Formats: sequence, C-alpha cells, structure tokens
Amino acid sequence: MSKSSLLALASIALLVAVALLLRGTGTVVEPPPTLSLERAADGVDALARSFPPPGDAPLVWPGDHAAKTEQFAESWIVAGLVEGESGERVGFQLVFYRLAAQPEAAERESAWATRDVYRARLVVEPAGGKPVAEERLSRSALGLAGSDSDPAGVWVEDWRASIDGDSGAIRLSASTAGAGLDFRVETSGTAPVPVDAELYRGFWWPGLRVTGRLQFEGREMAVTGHAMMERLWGRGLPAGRGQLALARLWFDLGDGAAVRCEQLRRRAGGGTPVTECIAYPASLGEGITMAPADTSRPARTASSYPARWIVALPASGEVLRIEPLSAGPSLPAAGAWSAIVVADGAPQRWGLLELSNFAPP
Amino acid sequence: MRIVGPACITLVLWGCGNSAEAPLVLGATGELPKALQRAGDPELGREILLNRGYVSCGVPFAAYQAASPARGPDPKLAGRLGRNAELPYDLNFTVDQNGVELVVSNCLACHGGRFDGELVIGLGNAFADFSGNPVRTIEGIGLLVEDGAPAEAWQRWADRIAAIAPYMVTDTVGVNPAPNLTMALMAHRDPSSLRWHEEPQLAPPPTAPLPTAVPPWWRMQKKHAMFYHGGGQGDHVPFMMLKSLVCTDTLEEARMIDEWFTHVRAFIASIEPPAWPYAVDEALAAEGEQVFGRHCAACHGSYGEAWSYPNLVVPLEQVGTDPAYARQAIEAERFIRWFNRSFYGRGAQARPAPGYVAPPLDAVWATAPYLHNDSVPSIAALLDSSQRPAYWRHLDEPREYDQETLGWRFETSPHGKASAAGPAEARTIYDTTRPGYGNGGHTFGDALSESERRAVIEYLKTL
Repeated sequence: MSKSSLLALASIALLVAVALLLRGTGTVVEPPPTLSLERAADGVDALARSFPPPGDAPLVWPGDHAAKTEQFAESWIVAGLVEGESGERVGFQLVFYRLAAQPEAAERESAWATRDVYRARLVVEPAGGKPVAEERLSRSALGLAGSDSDPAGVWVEDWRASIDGDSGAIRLSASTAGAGLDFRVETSGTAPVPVDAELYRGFWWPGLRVTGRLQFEGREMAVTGHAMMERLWGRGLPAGRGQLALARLWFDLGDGAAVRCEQLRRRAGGGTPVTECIAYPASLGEGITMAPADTSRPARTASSYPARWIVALPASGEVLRIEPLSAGPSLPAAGAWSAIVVADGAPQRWGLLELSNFAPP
Repeated sequence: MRIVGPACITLVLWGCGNSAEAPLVLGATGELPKALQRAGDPELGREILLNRGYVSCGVPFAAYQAASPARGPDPKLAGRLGRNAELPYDLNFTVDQNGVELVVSNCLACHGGRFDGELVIGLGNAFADFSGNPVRTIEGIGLLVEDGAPAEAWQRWADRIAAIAPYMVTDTVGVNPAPNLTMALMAHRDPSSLRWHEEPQLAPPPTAPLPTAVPPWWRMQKKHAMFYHGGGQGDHVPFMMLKSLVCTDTLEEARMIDEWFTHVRAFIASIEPPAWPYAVDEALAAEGEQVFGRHCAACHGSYGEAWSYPNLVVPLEQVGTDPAYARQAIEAERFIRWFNRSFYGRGAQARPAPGYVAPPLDAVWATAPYLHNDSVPSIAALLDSSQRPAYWRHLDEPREYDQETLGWRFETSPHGKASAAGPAEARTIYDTTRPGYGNGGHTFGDALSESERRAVIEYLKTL
C-alpha cells in the first residue's frame, strides 16, 4: 500500500469527527477515544468506498474550483498573511469541507433532510496577539450550506468562497464576533501544483495575492498580502488516525518558491516519520525533513500540539525554524489544530501548519 | 553465505576476525558431509508452514483488513485453516500473547513461485520486488491500528522491520536480500538468550545486499547441506527457521518453532519436483542425456530411478561464477561465530566454503533465472556464454515462459543502471557489471556444439 493511499485512508478520521459532531449539539468537541473513532470509521470507510474514486481527468481551472458533489468529500482551504496600512500583520484561514453523509440524495419529506454536511473554519491571527476563531457545521438543506458549480463557490451560512468566472479570482467573505474579512485573492503568475493520492486529488496553488478589507479589534482596515489555496476531492481527506499523527505544512518561501509537505509520525513517539513534499519549483522538494522543535514535550492532551517545527530544505541549504504568528492558542477543531506560521528571522516567510491526531495514546 | 534449499530465510556471513577466539572452521570444497536429519511428519509440516505463526509479529488483523479490503486468498491453497483461508497465500494468521489477532508473513513470499499461472510451493519467486524501502508502508499501517494491545503489537513489528530495512533493499527487482537481512537480525540479537537489542551488538552487514536467487525446495531431497556455498551443515532445521529471527525473542518460543520446523523440514524434503508440462522430443532428449552424462553429470549428478548426486562444492576458480557471495560468506566471521554459539548452532554448523555447490537439476527448467545470483535469464544462455546479456529485464506484462530457451521472456537493455532514465527504470534492469551481479563463469556449455546444446536443453525438460 502506498504512502499516499495510507494518507487517504487516514483522512477519513477527520470526517468521522464531523459526522460525530452532527449527532451532537453542533458545537466543537474534543475527538472521541480512538477505539470509538475506529468503530465509527469502519462505517465511514464503507460509505466512502461506495463513492467513485477521484479519477484521473486532466485538472482544469477555474473549473475544478467548482463543487464535485459526486465525490464523497472535498475541501477548499485558503490561507494567507496580510498587512494593514499601518504595518499590522494578520494571518487568516478560511476553510470549507463537504462530506456526504449517505450515498444518495435525501428522500425524506423533511426540509431539513440532507445528503451533505459542511464544516467551515474562520481564523484571524494577529502577529503576537490572540487569534479569533470560529468553526461552523451545517447541512445542505434550506440553503444553510452548499456549493455551486457556475459560478464555482462554497458557503456555510454567510461565510463564502466564490470564483469570479471571468477573472478566476477568489472572493472570500466571512465574519465572526471580533473579526471579519472581505478579500479578493488573485493569481500572481504561479501555476497550481497537482496533488495526487490514491483516494483524493486536487491542486495546491501557492503565491496568490490578496487585497481587501479586514475587520479586527473593532477596526476595519484595508489590507494587502499573500495567500495560498488547496482544493481536494475524493474518498477522503488527509488527517491523522490510529497510531499516527499527521502534520501538514504549506510554506511560502518568497520569490515565487513554496513547499507543501505531509508527515506521518507516531503519536507515541519513536519509529520513522514518513515525509512527502512537493514544491514550487519542483526541485526544492527533494529530501525535506521536518520535526517538532521540542520533542521533549509531547502533546499531553487532545488539544495540545507541537506548534514549533524545524524544517530542513537540502535543495536550498536552508533550515527554517517556524512558529505560530499569533501568541495565543488557536481553535482545536475535531482533533486537529492549525495556525499561520512564520519563519524565525524571516517574518515575511509564512505558511500554514495543520496538525491532527497528535494526542499521545 | 547463502542458504541453499529450504531456507525461509538465509544466513550470510561477513566480517572480521577476533584473535581471542578459537580459529574458525570453514567449509571445504569437494564433497559435502552428510548429516542425519531429525524425523518429522511431512503432512504436519505442511500444515504448520501454511497456518502457524512462526514469524510471531505482524500487522493486527483488523488493520490488515482495513488496509487491504479487496485482497483475498488468490490463489486458494488446500490446507489453509481458519482465518488463514481468508488471507493471501504468503500470509499466515496467528494470535499473540496479548490476544491480538495478527497477520504475519510466511515462507511463501520467497518460496512460492508461479509457473504458467499456477502457484508452486517451493519454487523460488524470481519476480518478488525487494527494491523498495518498506518503512513507509509499515509506518503507514499505524493509521489503521487501535490503541492498546494492537498498537503495541504493530509497533513491535514495525520497529523490527525498520531495524533491518536498511539491509534488505535490493537495487534490482527479482533478486532476494534474505542473506543480508539475516545478518542484520543476528547483529541485533544475543546469540544465547535471543534477546533483541535496539542497537546492533555486532557490526551490521553492508547496506547493499548481494543478489541471491531463491533455490527450489525440492532440491533438499538430495542435498547434504544448505546454501549455495554449502555452509548450512548438520541439522537443517535451525537454518530453515531463521526467518523467525525477526520476532522470536525467547528461547521458549525458539524451542517451539524448532519443534514445528522438524516437521516443516520433513515436508520440504518430501516435495517432488514438478513435471515439465509441455511436449518433449524424446529422441532429442535421449541424445541430450548422453551429452549430459559426458559433460555435466560429474558435478550435477545423474537422474532416473538409479539417480546419483555427488554433493560437490566446486572451487570458485573452477566454476568461475561471480565470487562475491561466497567470499562474503567466508569472510563473515562474526556471523559464523554468532550462529555456531547460538541456540540455532546446537546441532547445526555454519561452515561456508570458497566455492559453489553444483545443484541437483531436478525441474531446473522451472527455476529461471540461473546461477546463484539470478544473472543468466535462460538455460540456453547458461550453456552458451556468448548469449548472456550484460543488461536485461524480465517482461512481466504478460509473463511468458520460453519453452525453447527455458527461461522467462526478457529483453536486453542497451544500457545499465547508470544510464537509466530514472530510479524506476534502473531497478528493472539486471546489470551484470555491478558487484555481485556478474554473469561470468560456468562456461562448460561453450565446448558443446549447437546441436548438443539443443539436445541437453531437451533432456533437462525431462528432469
């Protein structure tokens, strides 16, 4: 079994957590014990296998931004680092997931009946300050959440990411108590990089430009900055599961260079971490290693994660020490944690770090 | 030292001397001494081979099912009991001391080969691929393992495989790394207690395994000693059970497996070579028998009801085939000593010789490619050294057997690994210019005429 397929199998854990949330109150909860998760995962695994594989059709833009509701799961991740006119630096994440809860469209008469559930996360992360975060979970009934094909877009309540069909730019709009954003995200000459695994595929698009307005700490400001996006679809999405944690890092090195890495490592420690990277340009991805900066303090709870990492890039001879842009804790979401990160000594270099299933056994 | 015959795993010996110990006794070229073997029940041995956990660590069954939901018992083997019947032929089912159901490897990944689509127990698998590092897969399986005892079982197995992984990655598809990985296992174990050490206690073997062919089990009906250099002397059981070195940490478990393998050895020694499944030109074969008798039988023996087999180790300088493997074995003093003082060395002796055993040729037509390192793709090329390709690869889509040359369909490559388009192509090329991969020597067939070679080939079909 290939590493990619293992990652894909693992990915279902994240979606199981979503399914469990649907049965609850709708608020974010810590993940259930592994055994329960595995039992729940068995059913989700079977459901996922009832959907078609992601296929191998050529990728197209902006067409592949659009909803692919024939797939079991899909995601839209947009993250970036913007700067206000006064020099304030603020990171952001706006992330949408769709998961099919049953193979066919809901046939119940209830207006609440749905086949798909959506989860979204908005995080606004000021440099050195406390992040503001909210997660929403909803269903594709009564217009509460959904995804479109023409023009391409996805929304959960009033949070939305949509494609301007003419320009290909992405319009982001979302707000929560204490923060909100209204951004236009455009390409700046970089090309999307295909992401291909056995159970999912899609693309990662680094080097995007951001303009727009940000509401934060009672103020509204014009901002400009940089972003990246990742769009995946298939029978699962990447996440840690079982005995393995998954660290995902997207990092913008500036001057058009960027790397995207996934690393599986044992929750209990030991073993050999398995790292796979792609990069722009491609040669930059060779031989990259990454490890938590402080291995002497493993995560002790489900919501405690190694936020500081050391990333070595042999192709460029660099060793990056990365850490969260914000000072406070971010939102633990269903067994996962994510934050905008910056490199020690090079704050213009930024990235998104996403960790899942890091709680020790 | 390459263990010839029924080795589930092999022993290679490599290293430097220790002047404080008694001089090492190596094997000699010439006739191998015969050793009385312990009696066993062949039928019970087959049952053990195909159903029990002589490799006692592996993948938790639930994780295996989640990872491989579509991989069933193909082909079905008679005598697979209980959950073994649900598994592919090269995996067994067992339950560990904590009650965790496990899927473990058995001997057939290497010692089960296919001929014309049929699985033949005891035929070496010349198409197995050990060119990939297994660590990604074994670590990745952890995604599917639950907390508690299953996690503990997976971690133990994964750590063992990771310890030997650097020594078992071949650079060519089809060749086998078992001798090297066996040395790596010895380096991690105390020979007396079999206790596992995370750090090697002996200098480990080189990380580039020499290529070895997997010999057919049916040769053990005639062979006095195991391995290509004849170094597996005395009781054959300890050599045959060396695969259990991966997980067997106690003498108690080793004794149990030793008892099991008394019967497994009896089964292996009972295996009859398969019969040539196609037509034979009887007249031509009769001519070939005469040529064989004059040119080949002195080393390879005679066949038929009044068969004879001389059990000869032919000196390296006489046979002329790639010497790296035998030399590695005789220089591996620390591993020779490890074996001989270990639990496994009670009734067996590791005594590699500076030569290669001329094997019995029963069903040799089924055992392509040829020589101890799989370097010659067909009997036709073995008998005419001018026809041996320097660079070649098997054609596996589809896999076809050539009844004229007695080998699997292959193509020559215009270049070796160094000029390959990339790693994916390089690993498919058998490059005879690489150390240990040489295809020279055993040029005895060059003295024959073309018609004599054709006759010998026809005769070999009848063995």
